[in-house]
Amino acid sequence: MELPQYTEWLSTQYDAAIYRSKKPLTESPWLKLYCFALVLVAERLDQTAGNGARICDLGCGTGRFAHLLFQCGYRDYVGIDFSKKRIQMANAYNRRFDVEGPKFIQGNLFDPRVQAVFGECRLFAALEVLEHVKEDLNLLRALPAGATVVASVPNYAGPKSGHVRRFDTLEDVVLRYGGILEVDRAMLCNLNREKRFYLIRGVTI
Amino acid sequence: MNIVGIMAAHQRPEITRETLRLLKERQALPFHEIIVMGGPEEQAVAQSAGCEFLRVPNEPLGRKYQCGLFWSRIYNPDAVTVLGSDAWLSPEWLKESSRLLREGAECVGSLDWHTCCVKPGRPVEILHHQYHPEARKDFAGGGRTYAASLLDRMGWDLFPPAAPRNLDHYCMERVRRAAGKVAPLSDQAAVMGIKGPWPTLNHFEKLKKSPRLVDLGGISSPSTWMDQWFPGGRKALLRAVPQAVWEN
Repeated sequence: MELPQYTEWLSTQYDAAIYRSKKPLTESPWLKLYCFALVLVAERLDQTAGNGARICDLGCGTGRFAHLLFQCGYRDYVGIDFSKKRIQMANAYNRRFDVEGPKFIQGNLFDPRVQAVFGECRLFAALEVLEHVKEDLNLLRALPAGATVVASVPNYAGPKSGHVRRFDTLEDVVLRYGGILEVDRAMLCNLNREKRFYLIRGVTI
Repeated sequence: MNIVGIMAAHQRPEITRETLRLLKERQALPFHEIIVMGGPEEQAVAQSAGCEFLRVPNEPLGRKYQCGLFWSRIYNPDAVTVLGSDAWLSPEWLKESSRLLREGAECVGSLDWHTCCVKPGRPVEILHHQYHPEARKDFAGGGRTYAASLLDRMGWDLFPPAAPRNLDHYCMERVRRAAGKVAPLSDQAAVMGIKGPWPTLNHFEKLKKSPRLVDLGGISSPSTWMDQWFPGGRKALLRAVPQAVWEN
């Protein structure tokens, strides 16, 4: 469901609204979601391309999901976020992991210079991202054909969330993204009594 | 109590099938769900047994288990039991595990285990393995159970992903660091005398290096032992390993 009363946030708004994203991974309210997403990533990476396939984390935020990937031994990773402060925090939080090259890039996902990175990647994570972006379908269309995408979207929105849409059912999610992704996994993740996420995995058509 | 089992299986579909059958048919307290992590050989076996299946590679083993542990959170478990494809757990063992967990234990496991040794042309042997007294006192083999309260404190980060072996030991180290309340379920020889009342059977091959072997203490024969603790186990073994020969 589109929410026209809410507008997309600027990067500076994400810089300011950082409270919950500062928590360490073990206390992150999204840890459960990250756990499921990691398994979806692991299944697909290990089946098709080996661990060397680059994972692109769209809207990586403060690098908590990256931390989980690194903990589990995945290193071929690049995270992108347009919040300067979040990228700084992502780098600081993951400093102990030995990853070659810049693992976190500050940039706009719709910038062609940033999108040039997409071609090097076989797997994309978009966790808690698509609901923040008006042009979510165009973002997915910018990914290379045949790439695997693991994405989550929520069932809630509010003026403080930065969400421009929410989803009432899993079917709504598959309906919206099914024209761009060939979905092979779709699941519900309850964060608490009210809030839940829908998690899907699919291959770009 | 909502207990979820996570089973790593690797290229042994026959024994995996029988282990799942025994766990589902014989257990005193049913697992809410068993998640099998394996390759293409195990997929059909797991799914036909009504289990959830994750296709992840065998190496590194820590990551394989960690994927199952993460996935178990779908079921909001009170506890997660770690299983191998040959983890035969007696109903009494499971019942006792649950009792200890209800009493506040956060990590329940065993310091010893049994091996069912099958050699061509020779009768099946049941061997009892026990760590030396000076050993690390790590829980060994399948059936180790971790409470969700402990896993929450650990951020559900239990298995070191890079460690291909000695996972039992690394997990115990992490549990100790998280101040987990540990309860040994059955140091069978020391606590209960030689014949333990809560056996597990964790291997179906000859171990290259055995920590220690003790006899079965009064059990007249392997088949008697099997019938006592694993009803239907002899037939299950024959289905999985047709060349197995019982003594009579």
